[in-house]
Amino acid sequence: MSWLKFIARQWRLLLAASVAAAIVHIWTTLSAMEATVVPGYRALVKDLPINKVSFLDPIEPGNQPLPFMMPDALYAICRFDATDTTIRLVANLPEAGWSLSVHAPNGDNYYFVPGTNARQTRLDVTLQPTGATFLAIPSGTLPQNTEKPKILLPDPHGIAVLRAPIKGLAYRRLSDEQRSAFRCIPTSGNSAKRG
Amino acid sequence: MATLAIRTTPSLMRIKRTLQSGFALITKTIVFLFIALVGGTVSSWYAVEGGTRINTERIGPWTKWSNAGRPGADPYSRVRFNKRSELVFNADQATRYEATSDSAGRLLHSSCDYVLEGMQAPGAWWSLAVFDAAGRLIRNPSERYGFNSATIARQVDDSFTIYLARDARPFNWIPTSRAGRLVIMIEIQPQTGRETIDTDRDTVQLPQIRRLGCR
Repeated sequence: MSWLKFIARQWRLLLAASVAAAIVHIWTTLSAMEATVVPGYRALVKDLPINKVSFLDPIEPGNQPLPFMMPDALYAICRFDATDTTIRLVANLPEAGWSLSVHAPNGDNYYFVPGTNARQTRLDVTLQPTGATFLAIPSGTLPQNTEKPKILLPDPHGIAVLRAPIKGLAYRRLSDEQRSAFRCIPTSGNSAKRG
Repeated sequence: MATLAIRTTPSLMRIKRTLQSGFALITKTIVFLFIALVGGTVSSWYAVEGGTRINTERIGPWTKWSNAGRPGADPYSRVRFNKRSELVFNADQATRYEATSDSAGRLLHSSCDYVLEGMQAPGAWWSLAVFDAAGRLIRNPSERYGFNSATIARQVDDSFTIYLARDARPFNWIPTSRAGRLVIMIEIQPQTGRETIDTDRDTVQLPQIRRLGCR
């Protein structure tokens, strides 16, 4: 009852404090957001070459680049920089459990293709920065590139991650062959941006 | 003496009133700051750690962050995965469910043994792994850290059992010794071009987590 009396008497104070709490809540949450580059991305790419595929060692204790990485998959990562070029991604996803995903430095996963048991999925896609309205693509590659599906990048930097499931020793050779087919190729240089 | 008393009483009363109002002001300020700072910070922490009904889906002990990895995800999901430095996949395509407690709501701990009982979901790929609270794999001589739908040993009716225990168990066993608090993660990928797994709350089948005993 004394609390009810207090609330009844001090409702203005409590209302103001609640509004202030809401402001603190929003400020605390937003200030904890790193909009540009998230720590996980930074930690993962720090030793990776640019525009080249890196095959990570199997995930195990002591060799875990990031927390909560599933250990039943082998990872191949292409850290790309599409500031002055487009990037061609080629990958085979022979069956379920395989996947190709593209991630932005802010942690967004804006492209994901899972493998399927129904058929082998052969991906050949071009990553293109959103701001690039004209790219000086060398002659000869232009007709081929225009036919490929394009992914418009929200950020010219990012990573493409190929995951190959570990299914046992009997599948190791097949898995290694398919994994080594993963390519990450800059397809044009010296781009000219317009507009 | 009587004159002195008459003169001092009002001034004492004034001082008393001033002190009372000052004390009340200080108390109100403390209450205001406490509610604003503690309330705002704790509610933010709670929303980031535990999620809300808007951005999480709970099925038994399993929690799915519905906006994980999505462009335009809500701030709580972003802060959560930023803090955990996790490589997050789009929740629509690679749905991750996480359990930190058993089906009875008790926190998972390596001092206890658990059994996970589930059923192979049709048309879907899944993988399961056990981590400590910081997301590290649990070192063990058997080098077993998880299973997936290809490596799990199943019964004829497609059901499976996974033991989380310190000592060796038959069928599917993941050692969990000296890890402290445990986190079980299960990731489900739908199959494109065929039937996809329905991850609605009513239809998805996730393993039950039963505690066998503690030491």
